[in-house]
Amino acid sequence: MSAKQTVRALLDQLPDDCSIDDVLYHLYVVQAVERGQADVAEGRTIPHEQVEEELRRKWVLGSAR
Amino acid sequence: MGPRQREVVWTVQARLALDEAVAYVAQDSPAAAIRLLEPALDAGASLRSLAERGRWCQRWSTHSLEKCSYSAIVSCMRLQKRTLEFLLSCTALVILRGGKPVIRKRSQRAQADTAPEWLALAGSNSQSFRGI
Repeated sequence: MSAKQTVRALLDQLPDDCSIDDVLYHLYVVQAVERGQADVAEGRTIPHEQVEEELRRKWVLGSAR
Repeated sequence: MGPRQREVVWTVQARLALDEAVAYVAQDSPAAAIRLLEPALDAGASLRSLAERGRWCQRWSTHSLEKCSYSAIVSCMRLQKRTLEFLLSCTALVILRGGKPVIRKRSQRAQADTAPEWLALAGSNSQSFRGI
């Protein structure tokens, strides 16, 4: 699906009274998911244990210092 | 690894998004940032065995995505600020590898899905995913 088709499909599914913020938010979500799918296709994935360890070390242990 | 245990992996995009969200909150309150991080990590870990926490979908439609991301925010994060939804929506993207297929009966649409199986992080209440 082309970018224009994706945007059209998105607009069709949003309520008529949606705001510009709503549109921007949903576009962001679609874009983020596409990036995630590209990550998977290209093998850019990280084991959960590694994510957990890195983020806890950075934010939990880091804030305790 | 048990019969229903799976390996949970994050996309680079999802990890980055969570890190950015935590950094954003930490600017105001490091404690609040940790309260944001911990449930997200716990929810990810629980996906190894609690597949019912999420909904299987190979192809994302905007409609399902919206509901999945909102469920993730409301149930896991307990935060509803638009900015956080904005940043956290893509933390829903984790994939599972290995293990046996989910045994419980799923919808025809879900049954049509094939690997790689996508799982949207959801809250503990799987009822919220009915009808999507």
